[in-house]
Amino acid sequence: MFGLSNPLKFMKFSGVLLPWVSVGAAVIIGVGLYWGLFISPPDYQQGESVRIMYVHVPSVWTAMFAYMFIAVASVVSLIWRHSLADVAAKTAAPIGAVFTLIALVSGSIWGKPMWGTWWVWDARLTSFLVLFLIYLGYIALWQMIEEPIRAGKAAAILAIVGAINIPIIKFSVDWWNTLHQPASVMRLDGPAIHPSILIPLLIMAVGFTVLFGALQLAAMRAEIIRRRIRAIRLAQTGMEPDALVQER
Amino acid sequence: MGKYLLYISWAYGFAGVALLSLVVITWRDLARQHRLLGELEAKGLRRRRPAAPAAPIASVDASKVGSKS
Repeated sequence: MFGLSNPLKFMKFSGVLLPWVSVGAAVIIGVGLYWGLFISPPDYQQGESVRIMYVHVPSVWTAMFAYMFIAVASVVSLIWRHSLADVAAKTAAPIGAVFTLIALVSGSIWGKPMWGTWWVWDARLTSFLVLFLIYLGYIALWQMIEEPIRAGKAAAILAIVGAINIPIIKFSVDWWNTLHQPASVMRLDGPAIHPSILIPLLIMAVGFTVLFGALQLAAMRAEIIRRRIRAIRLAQTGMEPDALVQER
Repeated sequence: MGKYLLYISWAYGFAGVALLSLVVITWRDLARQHRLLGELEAKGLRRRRPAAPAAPIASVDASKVGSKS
């Protein structure tokens, strides 16, 4: 895995992998959508509105997975200074932010018919909104600090500190009395959902995760090329070679 | 899907538009960076290409230059 931290090797490897991962994501999401919308039965309490779950819950999981990915990449970037770690962290943020927004909006749409309101300031919803704000702050930090090495370090520290929000999101429904339902899939005593609903949910979750992988590979390739272009242009204008080596 | 159809279509519609936009933006950016790098490398190659050997300049015999009248 560390061998792939060489940008040239990564470009070669990702170039082969990207079409397969992209097609895989499209196929898995297609199967999940068909299963969730047309095959799975309605819930005995929530009726047909349960179908919103097939887009809401996978978005939540992918948003949290993307954030943990950023936090781990930030640790690797700060400690081992792997050349691709901060590229990976930087490019995952907008993707994670979009999944977080989808989770917030679809949850709000689901909340209206089920709870009678679009939004409540309960612990789960609020901590998830905080995740979205952390994503925005992280993206803004990369944009605000002009010097790339400092931007990378500051963003990595923010990402690591912000990771404390992930267990808060996960356990908020257990620690506080919330309107949001408690965990029904990731439980110690097994899922509380019937397999006819659980299977399409898991297919969609895998599909969203693979889609995240495809988007991440494409965004990392674009970022590596962008840095290479910047390095070439700096070299043409006679910048210090050290600045090019450390170019982020 | 009855009375929930509107909510379901909003949720899926929003997610679809958001994800498709993300896919299009990401792939367009990748294609753009590839194109820019290609252009930059092509320029660099043109600049680095060794100059073709200069065509011999025809020596001019001064005695043959002038009016034929």
